[in-house]
Amino acid sequence: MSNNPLSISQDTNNNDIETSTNRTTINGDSSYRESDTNTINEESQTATLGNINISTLELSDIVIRACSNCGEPAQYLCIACGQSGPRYCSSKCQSEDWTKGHSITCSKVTRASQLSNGEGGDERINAVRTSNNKVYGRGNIAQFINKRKTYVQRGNPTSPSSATGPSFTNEIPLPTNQFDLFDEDQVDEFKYYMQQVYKIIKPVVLCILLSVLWVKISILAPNLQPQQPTQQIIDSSENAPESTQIFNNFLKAAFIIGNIIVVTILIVILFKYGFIKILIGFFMVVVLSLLGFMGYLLLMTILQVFQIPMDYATLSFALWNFAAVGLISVFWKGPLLLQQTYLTIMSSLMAFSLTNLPSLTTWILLALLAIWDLIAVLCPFGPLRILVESSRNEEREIPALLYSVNAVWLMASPGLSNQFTSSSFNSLRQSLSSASSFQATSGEEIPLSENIRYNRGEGGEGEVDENLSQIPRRQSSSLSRQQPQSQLANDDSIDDEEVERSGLKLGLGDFVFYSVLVAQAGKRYYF
Amino acid sequence: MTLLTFFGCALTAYGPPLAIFFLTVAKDAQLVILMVSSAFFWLISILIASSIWFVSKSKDPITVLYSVLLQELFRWFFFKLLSRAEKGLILASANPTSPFNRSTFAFVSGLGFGFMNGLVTYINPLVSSVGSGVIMCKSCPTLTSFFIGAITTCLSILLHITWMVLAFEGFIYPKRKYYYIIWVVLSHLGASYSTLFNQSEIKFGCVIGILINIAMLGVSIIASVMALKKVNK
Repeated sequence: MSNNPLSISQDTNNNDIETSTNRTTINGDSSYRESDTNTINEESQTATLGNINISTLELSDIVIRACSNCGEPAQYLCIACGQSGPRYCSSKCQSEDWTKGHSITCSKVTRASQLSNGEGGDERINAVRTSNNKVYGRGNIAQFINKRKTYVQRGNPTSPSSATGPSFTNEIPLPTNQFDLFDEDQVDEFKYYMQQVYKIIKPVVLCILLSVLWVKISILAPNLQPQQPTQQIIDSSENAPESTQIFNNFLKAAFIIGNIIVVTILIVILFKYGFIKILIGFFMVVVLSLLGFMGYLLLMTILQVFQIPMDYATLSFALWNFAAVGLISVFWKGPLLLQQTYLTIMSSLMAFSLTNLPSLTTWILLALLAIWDLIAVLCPFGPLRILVESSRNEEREIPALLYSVNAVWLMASPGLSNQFTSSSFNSLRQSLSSASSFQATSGEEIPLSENIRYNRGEGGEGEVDENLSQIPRRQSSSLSRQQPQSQLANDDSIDDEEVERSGLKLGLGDFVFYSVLVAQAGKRYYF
Repeated sequence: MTLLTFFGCALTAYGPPLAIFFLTVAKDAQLVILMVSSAFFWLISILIASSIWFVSKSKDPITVLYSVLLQELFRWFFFKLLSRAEKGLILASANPTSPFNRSTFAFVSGLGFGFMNGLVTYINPLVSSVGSGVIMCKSCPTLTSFFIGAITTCLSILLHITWMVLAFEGFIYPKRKYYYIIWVVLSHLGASYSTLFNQSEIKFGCVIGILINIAMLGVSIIASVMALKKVNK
């Protein structure tokens, strides 16, 4: 250890502190005490323990700033000063800067001078460090930190005995102990997930706006109102008293929900027993028909409303290309932006088709969907829950995974994500929900609970093609649209290599759900 | 002409607040999330107010009274919520040591309140400004009520920002500054009542209403700047 340049510089640090503050001389004492049983090398190591807060390089901060010492791009910062403190490119620079003057300005020192008992502070630092076991580093510094961490853990058995209870209570009233309440890692994860949530908001908002736009355009079209066929169904009941009408609507919605439930269970079974290829094929058919057929309906409406002349050859050629590119980018590969665009468009098409149902049916359907989602996700035997768990246990991706993962996986910052394990993920989620429980607003509430929720995508996945024959054609067409969302996806258990790609995920079902909600309201009231 | 009216009104109403949003808030995920949640709180308050109205069908002045009071109540709730989460929020903010963090949160929440307010109250007139026909303002027969509404909307969004900043200053425990809170409630009432001039028989009533709003905005801005100066000390 002694040939490590860091330990040398650390020693000079230690001298510095001894002259500057009384607290660190106590550190020296404690290290001597430990050196009774340990080797000399250990002594220098434990002596550095007292400085950990000061000299630590915080790896998780990847914002590149200039090093305070040499001006090179810096990745590390003084843990005591936090974000507001100086940045460093290496521990060497930090040590140099420490002797140059940071020892006076460092908030650790100012804080330390308020400590009545140095060992209490020491203990506290240890506590912070040991809880900080998610630091993965690069190169020398990382190795150094890892080594040091093991020392901290080794040193712990002795220090609790030396640091008695009263000293520990002394530090509690310190103004700065918020650093203890929130682990630094937690703060970083908090920030990271805030970014993720923010990135999810954008496509959701976009999807909602798109579907409102589709709905308004379709209202403008006098002749080709997709509603008409379904309205014929109502006609029979129109003369009936209101209560039976509601009942009929309820039946219709329940029928759709029934399809959804059946298909969800079917998917779970297929997935569980490994018929992945069947699933993928199924999803491909669904996506293709959604893009092709619903795209065709929408395009016809738009052409009619704006009175654009176009021949069928051009139209079908364009549609075919549109659908094929969508299929390839969703199931195979394509630029991220393209994938996201397609997923957003598909969700809005899906929502558009749902709003073509009579409005009462849609409202009932929305309510039922919400209830079904709750059941499917929260119940111990909820199909979605089983789906997520089995994909996690067997480390197998849900075929539709790509689909949904991408939906939300908008350029997660790659550097940071390395550090996130699923456990940290959970802790973050807790802190998130406790710290800002009010987030339950529109779209972003979901990502928080996404572990479970994204799967709920299948909200829509319902309708199987076979069922279609039973319903009038137009309506059935709208039904078939619903499936795409089945692409839920999830699996946060992703292996480490995959972690980089995993951001927050949101099932397309959620996109569709909110879009239908808003579009339905827009259809009725804003015109 | 109608399309021009639409874009003119839309930009008049939402242009300045949108500029504020994109220049100051949009870069920071935390602030955006805060803004959305505060907008949600405002929405709840107006939901309650509208259900009271739906049941009672009260007259305008009374409706204004209880909906304003409800909004202020939810402002208080939101403050309570934020002050619980404050430590975590400050730690996760871009600049944890800045003394202005609380004021930043207040600003952003005010923007959320204002945006939701602007959307809910003005989106319907805005959309109908596209359609055939116009509604003229009763007190100023030469102006359309769309345009008057646009100006009022813009002012009220800006007012909501300053109110939230002032109210947060006033709420802060332990030394509550009740004069801030009283000013916020009174000016909110005043601004809301002054919009009733639009539909009154008084000549140039809409001008009076807008002038009152602008005066309120001026006073509130000055007060919040003074308050922020104190924070810095």
